[in-house]
Amino acid sequence: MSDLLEKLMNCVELGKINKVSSFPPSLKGQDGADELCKMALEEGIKPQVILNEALIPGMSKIGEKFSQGRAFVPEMLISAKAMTAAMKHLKPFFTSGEIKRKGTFVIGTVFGDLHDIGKNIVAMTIEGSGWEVIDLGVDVKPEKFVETIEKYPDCVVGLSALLTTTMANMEVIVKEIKNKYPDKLILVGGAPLSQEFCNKIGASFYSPDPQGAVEFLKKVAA
Amino acid sequence: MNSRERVFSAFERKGYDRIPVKHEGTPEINQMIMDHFGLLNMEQLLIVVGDDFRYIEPIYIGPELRTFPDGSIEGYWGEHYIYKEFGGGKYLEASYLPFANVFSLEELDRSHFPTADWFDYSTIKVQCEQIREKGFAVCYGTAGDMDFINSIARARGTEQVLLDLITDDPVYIEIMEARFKFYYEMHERVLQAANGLIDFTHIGEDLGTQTGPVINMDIFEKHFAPKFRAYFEMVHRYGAKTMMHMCGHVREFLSRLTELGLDVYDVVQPTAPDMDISLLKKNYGEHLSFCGSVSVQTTLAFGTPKEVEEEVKRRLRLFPKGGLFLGPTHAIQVGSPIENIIALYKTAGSMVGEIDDTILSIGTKEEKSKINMSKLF
Repeated sequence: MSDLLEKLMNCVELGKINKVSSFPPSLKGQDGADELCKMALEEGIKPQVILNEALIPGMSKIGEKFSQGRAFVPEMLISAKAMTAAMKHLKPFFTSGEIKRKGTFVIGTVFGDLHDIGKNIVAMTIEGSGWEVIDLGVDVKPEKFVETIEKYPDCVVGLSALLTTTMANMEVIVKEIKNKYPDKLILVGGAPLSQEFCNKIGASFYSPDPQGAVEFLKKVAA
Repeated sequence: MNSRERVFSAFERKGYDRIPVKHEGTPEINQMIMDHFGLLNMEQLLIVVGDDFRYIEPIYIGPELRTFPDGSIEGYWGEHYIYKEFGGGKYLEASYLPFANVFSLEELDRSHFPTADWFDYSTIKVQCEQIREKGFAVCYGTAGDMDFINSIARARGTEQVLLDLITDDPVYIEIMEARFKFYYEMHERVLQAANGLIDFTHIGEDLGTQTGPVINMDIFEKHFAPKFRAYFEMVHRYGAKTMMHMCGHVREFLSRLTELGLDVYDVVQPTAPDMDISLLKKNYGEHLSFCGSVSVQTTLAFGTPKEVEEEVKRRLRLFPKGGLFLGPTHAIQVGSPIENIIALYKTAGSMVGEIDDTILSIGTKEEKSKINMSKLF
């Protein structure tokens, strides 16, 4: 791997967004993900290589640390910010088709529930693993999920809920999706959930942390 | 034993006639309990379930907290809240966040920072005396006091606050300092007015997620530990004990919080990883008391009365001399069956056997719309 890509990977892992950002203190005054991604493109490194060899591994490293309890939510968020700063330079290559994503992931917090921090962290982590993420936001009704699946028929779906009262709404959404798309993969997550609940409502996969979802999707994309 | 004697005997691990109990329910759950037993108000409910604690409050005399045409109401910091339905109940959610997108101290509008002068403390002593006379332990504060992550997020946004903590954002730090000063001074004035009659003060900080700590220990040491130490020391100077609400997995912070002066860790979510109540008792129970620990996410919401009974009995076996004030792990949530709630308090031995006129004549029908702006947790 080139020095540049290694530096870029480190910036994503450590959450160094750009030159002016003061975090992390150890990289103060140095180029961040923003500048390094631009430089990599200028040096002629292929966008797909930048994504696969710097950005995705950077997010993967912080995701692993998070699931091992060596990094916490703020570290995940700032890494995702650094990733986003780099990704803005890659946007035209996604549009042109020069960069291929691993798939499309449609995510939303279920209807009746307005909480989004968990859903956002999962969305960022999955985007950071190379998937296109369609974030439907909070309080999402079953018909919105079905509508979106019509647009992205090969997508994988993620449902989030925080409350014991609203997790029951996941069952309604799973039923409506499975009525129309019996084989659709549906991931569920959120504070009160469990594997038992996932099995009971007929969802495909449950993970207590975002990295579990990333690992599952890796197998799907393989 | 009256409630206060029971609480202190359990706090000092000297045994009890029945385990001390502290109830918490959403407004809908409290209404369900009241309807089930034909009760008129919260005081009657607390007597029926056998809650051993009662809270006092200063009177709000600050600037008018406005209600807006969309139905939203103003909080102490200029933020707005609006009720959102979630099927079966409603929660107050932040609808206007005055400190969102403020990234420099020059832009920060401090005109709505609350102060301890916004409250009248003249009735505090009488409130304490009345509670003591009835034999209950006297508490002051809420889980939303201090609460530098969750509550500031309601005026600035959760993601921004979590980023602020790692980047030492000066805007966040200033809001945090102002929040600390506000609650420190308000609690101190309440303690002064009570003149030694307050038993426990209550604050909160949601340091845990469902699977691990929200922040790392360095951030905790830099921004939180000095404030908690100063606050706990102040409370102890007035002879009261400290109680702190924390959701989720917070094991990493418990030793340090005990060193800083925390006496009671409130709510205890034993279903989070490595947070089983027996493990917590073994590792931290010598110097720290617990409150809560019966799961609102699992047993109370989805279990059977028998399962609730078993969960309670296990705690009675684990804490035969004290060290636990039994209660739910948070407000009992909508949808939890009444049978499970009854099983919780019956097994604890705190539920009254017969609801007679001596209970039903207490107080008057409750004004349902009353909102405590400190209690938005």
